[in-house]
Amino acid sequence: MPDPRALLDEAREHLRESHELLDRDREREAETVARASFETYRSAMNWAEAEFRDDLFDQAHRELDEAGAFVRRTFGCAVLFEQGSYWQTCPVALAHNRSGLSVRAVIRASECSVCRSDPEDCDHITGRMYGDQPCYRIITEAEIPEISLVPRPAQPDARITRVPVSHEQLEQRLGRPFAPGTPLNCDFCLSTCSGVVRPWG
Amino acid sequence: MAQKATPPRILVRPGLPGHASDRPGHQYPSTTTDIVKLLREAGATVEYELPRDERELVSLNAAPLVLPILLGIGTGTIGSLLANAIERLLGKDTAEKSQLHVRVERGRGNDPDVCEASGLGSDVLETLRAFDEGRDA
Repeated sequence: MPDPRALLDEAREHLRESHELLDRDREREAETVARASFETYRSAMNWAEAEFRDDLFDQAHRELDEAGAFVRRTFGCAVLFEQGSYWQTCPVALAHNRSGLSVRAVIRASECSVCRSDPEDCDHITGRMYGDQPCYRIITEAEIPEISLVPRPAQPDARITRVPVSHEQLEQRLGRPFAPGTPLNCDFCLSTCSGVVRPWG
Repeated sequence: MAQKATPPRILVRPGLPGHASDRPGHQYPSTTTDIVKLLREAGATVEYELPRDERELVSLNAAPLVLPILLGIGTGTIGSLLANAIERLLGKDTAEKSQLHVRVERGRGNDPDVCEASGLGSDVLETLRAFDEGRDA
């Protein structure tokens, strides 16, 4: 399972590499590498939260905000306009909503990751190591009657990846003659962070 | 001559504590498989109430963990047995910090003693252990 500390280190390495590339005037590559840190930081927050590591969660959150501000100020950030709508797709903004996705699955068939037999027929227990092999259930056939938004998904990285931005809201904030399709900057990371949102408290 | 202790007998009943079931009377949470193995490892005799072809396993992938419904037959320690199995499955620290949904029953007939609990793991585990016969509530 991913280790939030290792994810933090990986994200920091992305930023370090970005700064090095900038020093060598390789701006486009620097931006790509810096943006790669966003998902890694977001994942660090997710796995720290799953492990109840508030200290690591807060650290990953703080560093994600700093990375976002660095990228916004250095390279600029545009809001995605696709198929007639604006979308918030940035992991920095999306990580601040702590909702996740949960699948309710009726398992029709599954196998043990260690011995490949039906888990009811073997002695292996989920989460244990057998030699160098971790034991988990591989679901090979399932019905999915429901997908829910939950505060703590069992798969910590199961998160929202895009949110629509309403034209009406944009018109109110930007005034006329705003027209859909106008290139827009995202300034989310230029403001002081007001914390994460936990819809369930 | 000391009498050999009788292993505890446990019946695994269908149901999803804390959740509605799409097929009442047939669905078991996906944690059932591991909990059954852990109970057997601890020396209990464990059976399912339903035959295999009538059982459905449901994976509820939110972090709050749904545990199988257990009926202890002739054993006063069903609460502790489940609490110990949960700790061995998750690790004590994670078990105490997780959200858990449990239900255990004791006795037979139409009016078994029931303990159903949902909430913080440390509280739920304590509640399970307090359900054991001879313990103060």
